[in-house]
Amino acid sequence: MRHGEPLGPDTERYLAEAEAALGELPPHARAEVLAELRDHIARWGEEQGRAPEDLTYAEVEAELGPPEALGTWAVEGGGPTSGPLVPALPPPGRRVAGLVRWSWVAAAAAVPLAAVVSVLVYASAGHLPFHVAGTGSAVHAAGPSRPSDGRAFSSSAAAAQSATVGTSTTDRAVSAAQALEIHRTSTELAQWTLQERSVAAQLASLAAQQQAASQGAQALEDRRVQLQTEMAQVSAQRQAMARVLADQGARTLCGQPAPVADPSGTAVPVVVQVHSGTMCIWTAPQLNH
Amino acid sequence: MVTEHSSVATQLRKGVAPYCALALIAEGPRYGYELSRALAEAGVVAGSGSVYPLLARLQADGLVTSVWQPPPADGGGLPRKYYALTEAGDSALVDFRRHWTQLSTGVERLLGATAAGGRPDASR
Repeated sequence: MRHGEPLGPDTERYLAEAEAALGELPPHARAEVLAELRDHIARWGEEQGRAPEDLTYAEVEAELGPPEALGTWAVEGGGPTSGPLVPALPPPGRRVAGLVRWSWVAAAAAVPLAAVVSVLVYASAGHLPFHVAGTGSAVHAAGPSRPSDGRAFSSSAAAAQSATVGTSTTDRAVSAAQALEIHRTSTELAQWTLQERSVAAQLASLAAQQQAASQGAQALEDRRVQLQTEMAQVSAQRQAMARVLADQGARTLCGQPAPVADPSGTAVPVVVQVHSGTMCIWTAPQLNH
Repeated sequence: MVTEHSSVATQLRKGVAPYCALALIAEGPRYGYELSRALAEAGVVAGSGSVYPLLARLQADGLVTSVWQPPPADGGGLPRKYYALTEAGDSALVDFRRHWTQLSTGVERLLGATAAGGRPDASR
């Protein structure tokens, strides 16, 4: 039984169904799992004293389990990716995309807010006879000397509160100092929001570049795994042929088979003339293999 | 409420099988068939075939690495894919052992008490 050699029709049918069930796996991982299933059947059949091509579908299924169940082991279960031991995070690209999406909302809210507050500031400074639509009451203009009511706006949260000033707190006066403070804060919020959007866009761009690089690296990794598998197959084939060649040479030149103790199976017979006749010496150039 | 015993067994197996595989690999590099036999004999997996996709997932999660080795000189005949534990795999195993000890102790206590017809000892 050689690596990758076709098995019996029933076994091949089982493997085809297993391949379909493993559709969630990336191609290289799926190929590796199928190669291992194939090897498992060959080894197991050997242990049972059965030729792999004689195994029935039912026998293979009894040993390996239903093919459709294999897929679930590849994508679910109690492993670290599905359990609480390692919390699952969305991929970086998705996180950045979310940030970009929400930053637009923040920017959309902050920029008009700053404009509204600016109008309020202008009005509260006495430049406009400001009236709030729908209420009929006015925001009283306040001069620089008007005492503050003690409320301070020093964070971006104040911008949201400032909207309330313009729509519902129509009967209370806003000092110029307060209005200017709100204006400064809301302007700052708008700037930070735009800045956040800019950084988020850069992050999104970087994530896209990383993803592209990762896909390139994945393709190389796929190719490496494929070559590694191929190497193992070719190596096995080479060793088998080397054994055949050594044996042929030994029988032809020395009239006896190659020494079975040779672990590499690549001993080369050399005939040496000695005084009493000829002597066969086997050299094994790849004994360290 | 438990209505499907086979489903419970499957879910229990799926919960512990990855860590049983890691524990076996932690003893030294193992090849797939060897792991599959050991896990099936221990009843941790119902079908030997499920071990291979499980190993693929552990590898994708960075908990194990693997390498194909040519057939051994003793006439094994087929290349073998050997698995070894990574540092992350070792950490996951340590973490699981800690959780498992706590959980299994608690479950044993509850099941033992109820099987004996008594009430679980809440003071312990």
